[in-house]
Amino acid sequence: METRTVLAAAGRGDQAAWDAIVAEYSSLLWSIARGFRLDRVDAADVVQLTWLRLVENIDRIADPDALPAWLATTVRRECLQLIRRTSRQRVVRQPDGVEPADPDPPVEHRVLLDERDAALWRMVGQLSDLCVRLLRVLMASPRPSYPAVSAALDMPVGSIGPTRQRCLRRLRELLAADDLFNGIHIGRDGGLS
Amino acid sequence: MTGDGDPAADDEELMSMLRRIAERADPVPESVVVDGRAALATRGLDAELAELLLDSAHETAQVRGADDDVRLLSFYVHDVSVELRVEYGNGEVSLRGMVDGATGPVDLELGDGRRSLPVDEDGGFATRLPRGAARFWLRTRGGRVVRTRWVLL
Repeated sequence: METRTVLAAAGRGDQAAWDAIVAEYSSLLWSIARGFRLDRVDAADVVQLTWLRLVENIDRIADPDALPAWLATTVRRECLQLIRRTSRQRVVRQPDGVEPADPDPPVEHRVLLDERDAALWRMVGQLSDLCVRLLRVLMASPRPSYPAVSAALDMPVGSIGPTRQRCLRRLRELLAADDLFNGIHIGRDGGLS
Repeated sequence: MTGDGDPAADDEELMSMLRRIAERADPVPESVVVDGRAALATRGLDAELAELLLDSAHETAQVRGADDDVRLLSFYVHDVSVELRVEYGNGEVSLRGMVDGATGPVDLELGDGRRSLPVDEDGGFATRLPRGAARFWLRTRGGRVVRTRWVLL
């Protein structure tokens, strides 16, 4: 079904249509929030706020094709606002500079990942904020459109490709410096192994 | 083939690998999807929208007050206004509000339901609530129903 049809049905209260929208874009919203390095509780809050905002505005979305970009923009703004607010509270509450513990356990404790997968995942987290945001949203499933990625990062569509290239190059440099990946080429034909 | 001839294809390969890892390492929690589906239940009666005039969380350092732990929000439409003073602590939100131009209780709507907050004779109300999305409904003296947009408290 076209987005226009699904949106219109959801706007009339059709739960199945709404569920289809949630299924299609939850990963996009979650990936954007996590790309901003929000913990899981905060990420859940901004995703939920975005859905509530969509319900609130469902009859006012002028261009249904722009829905992914609308969602991405909404969640990005909430992420930024939450980060501003909580970083300020952190400063006030913790003048001694002690950072609160990350409520996220290390990824390899939560799920059984291959050792190298876990290392690769950690290295992504060591990249610049821009690279983490971009690569994380590009990992959304289904793959986000470039307009949605552009809205998620507030970055022109034309900059996405070159930035992605630069971030992946940087990631390869980190990999090259790590013994776990010694001599392994990541490319076509077989990935890591 | 070792893949050393085509950087674009190599990038694709690396991205596919990252996407595969992300699906296992950081999937969307089921509860997030369930809550998202439930959000449709908030659809319904529309009402006049009170615009957000001020949110101190949006402001830059220069205009912020000395007390950074307090967030001030202000909503307004025609003859009605709502001022909120929000404090965060211990994972909870402490809310004090003031309405002007409204009558009766203020309804606080959260993602999972509504609660009615009694308003004192000066227009004040107060409550504690969990962090998350919230919006407020009130009735003007003229009988119109007014609501705020959703905000993350």
